Amino acid sequence: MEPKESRGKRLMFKEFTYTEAQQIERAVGAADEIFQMDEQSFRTFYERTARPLWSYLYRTSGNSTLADDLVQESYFRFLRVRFREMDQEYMKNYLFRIATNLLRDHWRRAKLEPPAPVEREGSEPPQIRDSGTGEQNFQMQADVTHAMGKLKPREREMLWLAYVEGSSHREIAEVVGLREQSVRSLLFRARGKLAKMLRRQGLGGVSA
Amino acid sequence: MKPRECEKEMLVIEAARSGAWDAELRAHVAQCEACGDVALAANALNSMRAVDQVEARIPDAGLMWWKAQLLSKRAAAERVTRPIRFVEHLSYACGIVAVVGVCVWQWAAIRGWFASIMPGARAHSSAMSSLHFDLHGLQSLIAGWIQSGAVLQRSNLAVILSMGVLLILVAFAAYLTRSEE
Repeated sequence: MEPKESRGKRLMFKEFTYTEAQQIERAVGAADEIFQMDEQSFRTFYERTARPLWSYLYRTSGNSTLADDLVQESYFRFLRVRFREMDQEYMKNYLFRIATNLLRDHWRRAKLEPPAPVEREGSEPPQIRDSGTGEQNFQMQADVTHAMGKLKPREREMLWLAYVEGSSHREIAEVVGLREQSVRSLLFRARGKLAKMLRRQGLGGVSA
Repeated sequence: MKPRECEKEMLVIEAARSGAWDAELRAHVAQCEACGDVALAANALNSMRAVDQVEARIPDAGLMWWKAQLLSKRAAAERVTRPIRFVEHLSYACGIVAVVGVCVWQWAAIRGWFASIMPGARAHSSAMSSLHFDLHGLQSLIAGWIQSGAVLQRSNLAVILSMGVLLILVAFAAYLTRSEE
């Protein structure tokens, strides 16, 4: 069967009558006005959110290529949304919600178990804020990644949103599609699980 | 298990995110179990974020904007051409239904027509199988076709043509209706 994409291309290049061509021209012209945001606002918003979003997707999926794709798709979908209020925090949460749903759809479509995050090959020793050497930091990264890999995808999502993005329980509930009360208890359990694993790996000293 | 919470958790999270720890907060984290867990988890995750800030391959904002516009235009074109595709498919379906309908309706005439050309066809196939080109067999085959065609023309051609014109008109009317919508 011909793929949908290819059918679309075929239609784009077929011959149309004059009236049809005019109709298409009008509809395509109107597409310019579909986005609620103008280019400058989008650029500002994108600069603020793109890296955190990529990081969230990469650390919860464990796949940098998938994170690249989903970041783009998330913004494409985000731009088509009509917001009642142009509040930056609200829009950011909405963007993360789109990304979370896309990630789950990906796993559902592929009928895959979400894989555990893996450290990228050839990545440099991380430059983090403590005073350890590059090698120590690199080992710590590997240990944290390993511990994260033992968590469920939803736990990884919640922990990342709470402790990296600084989202409130209500905001996390909106992003992951749970009740606020459930987020509170699940987050508490996930945090305990991660802390326990990190201590077992001898990373207890990282705290503060 | 009831979540153990501390009122200073938010301060600990903020300190882990910004890296700005004060002595008082450090002392609190050393004593408070809940804040100890929060600090450990938050520090570990934020160290990953620090790496990603450097390593993330993010496309340029202008490129993203341009691609989003292109995709929305393509989607708009796809929406507009949907009625045209619908009528295309409808006309194919009508054509197939018409052919099947005529075959069922005029089955007796078709069977008679096939019977009239069969002797010629048999002669043709036997000539081919024996690898002798029999000019007489070919002539009889063509004559059979012409004769049966003439019979069909006399009896049914007018009806078939009417049906065909009717179907074309129906398809055209459907197309006009859909494109108006």
